[in-house]
Amino acid sequence: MSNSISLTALSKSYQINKTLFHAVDRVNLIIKKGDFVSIIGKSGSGKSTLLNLMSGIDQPTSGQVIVNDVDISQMKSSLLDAWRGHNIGLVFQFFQLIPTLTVLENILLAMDFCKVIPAKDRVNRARSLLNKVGIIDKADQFPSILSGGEKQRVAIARALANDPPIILADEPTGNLDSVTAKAIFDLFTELNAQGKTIILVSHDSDCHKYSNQTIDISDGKIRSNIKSAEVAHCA
Amino acid sequence: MLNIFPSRLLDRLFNRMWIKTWRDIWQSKGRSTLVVLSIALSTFTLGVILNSYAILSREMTQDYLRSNPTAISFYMEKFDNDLLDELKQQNWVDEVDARRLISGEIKTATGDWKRLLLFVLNDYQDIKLDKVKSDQGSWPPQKGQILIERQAVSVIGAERGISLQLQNSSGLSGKLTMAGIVHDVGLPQAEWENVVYGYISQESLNNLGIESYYNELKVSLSEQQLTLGEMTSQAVNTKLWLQGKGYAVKRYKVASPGEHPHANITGGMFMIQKVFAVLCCFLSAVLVFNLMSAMLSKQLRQIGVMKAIGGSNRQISGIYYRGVLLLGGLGLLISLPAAYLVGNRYVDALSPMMNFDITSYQVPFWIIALQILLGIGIPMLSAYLPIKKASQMKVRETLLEYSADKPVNEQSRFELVIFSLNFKSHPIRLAIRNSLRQKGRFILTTGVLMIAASLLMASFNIARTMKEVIDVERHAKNWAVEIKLNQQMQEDVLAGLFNEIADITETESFNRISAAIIENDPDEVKDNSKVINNNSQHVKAHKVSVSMTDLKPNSTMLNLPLIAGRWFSSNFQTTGEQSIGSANNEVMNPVVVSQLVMDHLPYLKLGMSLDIEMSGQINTFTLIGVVQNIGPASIYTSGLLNNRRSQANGLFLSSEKQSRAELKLLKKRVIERAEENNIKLSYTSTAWDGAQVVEGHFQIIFSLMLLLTVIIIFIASNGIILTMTTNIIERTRENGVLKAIGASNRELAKMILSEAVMIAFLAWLVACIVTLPLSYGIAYWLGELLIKTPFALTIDPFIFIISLPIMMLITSLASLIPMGKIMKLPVREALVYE
Repeated sequence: MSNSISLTALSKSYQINKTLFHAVDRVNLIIKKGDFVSIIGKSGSGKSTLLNLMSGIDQPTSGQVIVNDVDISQMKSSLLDAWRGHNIGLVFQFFQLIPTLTVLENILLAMDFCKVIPAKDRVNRARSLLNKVGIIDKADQFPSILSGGEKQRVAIARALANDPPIILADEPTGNLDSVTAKAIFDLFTELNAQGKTIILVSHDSDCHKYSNQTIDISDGKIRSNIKSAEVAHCA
Repeated sequence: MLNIFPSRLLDRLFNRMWIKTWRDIWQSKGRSTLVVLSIALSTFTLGVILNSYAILSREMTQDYLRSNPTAISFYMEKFDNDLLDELKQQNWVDEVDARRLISGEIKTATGDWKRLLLFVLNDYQDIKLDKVKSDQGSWPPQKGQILIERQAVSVIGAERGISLQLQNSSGLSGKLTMAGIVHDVGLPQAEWENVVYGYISQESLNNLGIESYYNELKVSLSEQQLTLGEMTSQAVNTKLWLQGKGYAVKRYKVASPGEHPHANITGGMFMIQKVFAVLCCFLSAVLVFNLMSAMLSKQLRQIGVMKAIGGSNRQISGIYYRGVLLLGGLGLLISLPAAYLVGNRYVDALSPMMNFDITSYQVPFWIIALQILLGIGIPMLSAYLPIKKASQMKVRETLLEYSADKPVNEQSRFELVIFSLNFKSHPIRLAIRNSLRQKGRFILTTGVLMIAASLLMASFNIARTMKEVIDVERHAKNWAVEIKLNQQMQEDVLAGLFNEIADITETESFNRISAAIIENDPDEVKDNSKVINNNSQHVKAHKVSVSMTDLKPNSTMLNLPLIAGRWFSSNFQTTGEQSIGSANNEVMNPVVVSQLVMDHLPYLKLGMSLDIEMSGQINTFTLIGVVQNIGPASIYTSGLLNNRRSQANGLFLSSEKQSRAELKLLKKRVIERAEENNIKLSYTSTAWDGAQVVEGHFQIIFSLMLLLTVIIIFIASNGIILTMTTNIIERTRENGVLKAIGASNRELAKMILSEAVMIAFLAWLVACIVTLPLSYGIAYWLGELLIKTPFALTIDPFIFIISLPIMMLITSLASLIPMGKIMKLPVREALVYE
């Protein structure tokens, strides 16, 4: 199976009060296509920064990020946004839905931006995605009246809008109760089964149950990178 | 609230970017409304001014051109139809016409005598030049009838059918019936000039005891595209031609080609309005800038999300540019029709004052295009920077918690000074620090308010200056009533007749004659082609007509403000007899001129010799001073017309009485005394009459300035509401925390009002400085425009004091709406506000 994401000697440092802080420190990592990877670690360990570097939201201080054979570490910021829309679906902890657009419109906006899906097919596809995540009945509602779980389902549907091969999710269950969190994890598992590469950052100790690879990060460095069989063995 | 827009309908109409734009505007509809109103108000102001100016200047010129205006008017002794026939044959002449112009007095409905300019036209049925047309009633004037120019009707206060009494010293005497009203577009405004224009037939003139002949020759030239200089040159040639034929030409007047006589002052008046309108546009641009900055800072996270899901800079910028486009478009929807309608009404109000008819209200396309361009373009330009900055931010920056705070070591020196102010009240200390958190917004808001405050102060400074000009004009006259006779009289007889009138304390005679300064610019004299040998004297053909007043030596009746040089020497002792050729303080034939003479002859310098033509004789005078005098171009001499020293044709009458009403009564008594003694007066005026002419102009200017200032204050108030709302909304969570730790609504209100008051105070402080050069500039320009000499600025200290509480009141009132909102918001909701 070919590589989906390849990180080579990846570092990200910040200057804080004359002190250099290494959020990500010389990380090397390969994620294969179709993998379901969970990145775990304590708060401030660098896991979200790592995810941001993979999505091109953040630029590395040094090293290389290759996603689907494209080196995005050298890509211009203006090109990165459009590239991301085509190749990566992002899911955030706080859902980040546009409050002035309905559920359906939030998904359509992502399609309008990227123009991957023909205009005539967009509404049908958006409805189909909402059906898939189980909130088709909320299509014409505004996000403000949805529950946390419903909002996250919309965010996942939006991440799938342009049919990207990779889904990156940053603490997708961090704001949800355990029952809803399980439903979201199940949704990711289902997507992974359909061929999407899923990379998920989470505090949730249960997340490794759903993924086939778990990466533990501490002080910006990978402390362990365990495949699911090994995790099961460890457990 | 948002559901009022059905999604399906919108789907068909717009894509999601349009929907987002529209809903963002709708969500902040309060602030959006303020911006729409400000854009509407500024484009409305600009539209009203441009529309009315375009209509006024076009219609004024067209109405004037329809009258077939004269190119050159010659004021002559006497001529008849033979001259017209002969002149018409000349190849440089296109058309000729003639009329008789007689000055005199006419008795008004209230019994006052007003100055009368009586026109007797050659042929009313076939007026060739400066056409007069009938407005109401009889046309042409029949025997025993007089027609009054429509603007003069209010001056005379009479109605059709009334019998009017006319008189002058040349024998004009009798009554005529006011049979109609006419329109003569080219005449100066009768109300402002306080003059009555009348039109009668040759037969009526004969009946009034006056011989029938022409004294004003009107000529239009066959070459249409001449410049003013070329026309002046042609006027000189024609004058020579007339003189060669034996006709005496007193003076001539060349009209600016294709330009209404009022065009200059109209253009000037509109200039100040245009400046205000541009200022309005600038202020609304600042408002849009503030709104977009505030809106975008609130939307940074959304921008980050849109980028994260694939939105490009261009697409995201597009969402916000669409918003500005919508705001501008909505503003224009209000302002375009409103500006058209109000502009038309403004034109309707101004056209009678300018005395011309409107035939079309059509506005040139370029003005509508300009309004659209400005209504859309200015907001777009002002939104450019905030949109560019926000859309180019990196996703990570936008998704991070955005904080306005900076470490103290990054504050500017000014901020550190403000931060170190040790107010006892902690809420006030916090309020002052809060106002500086968004420095750009703070500077723009304070700047807008400062401009409004500066203009408010400038308006009142100008009003005070104009009042001072009127006071100076009034106090330049140490006399109460002035009379001018049509004949010479023995000084002692004249004084004796009027001395006995009740309340007259003193009289002093003078001589006033029409004279002409012969232009003799040393730079142009070298051009021999322009110099004409006339009676062995080198005389330049161009003359400036002036009113020459010869005062008694050591006269104290005039106290005109000196602009340059000196008045007649006070220590100069006369024996009572001085003649032309004698010296005043070692200067031969000293003369003082008014500023209007200097405007006509800018090359004049103190000490220079002036050739002045008086009663056909040319005498040389020495210029010793320039004085400010509202009214026609005038020159003053002191005791020089000694061959008539024992005689005078005018009398100053002093009195203890000062008020307008008292002087009006005194004037009436003087006229009655003259009538009793069968003395023909060519005119009578009180010391207030000159001021009255300019008062009307000043009132209009002040009203306009104040109106425009109020508009600018309104826009500035919108800016304050916008800023205070944005500041307070941004600090919703913070205010929730303050409430949670025990701050009462009263404390919150105190903090918000302290911030508003601080903005007002700083704006006022800077405005106090800025208004000084601004007021000076406006006073300078207005003076040059109205009396051809800059007004000396008079500061109104009261407006400086009163404008501080006005500004504080405006900012405090503007804070009430957002303050009310934050006070009503429960702590729980404030704490979770995003």
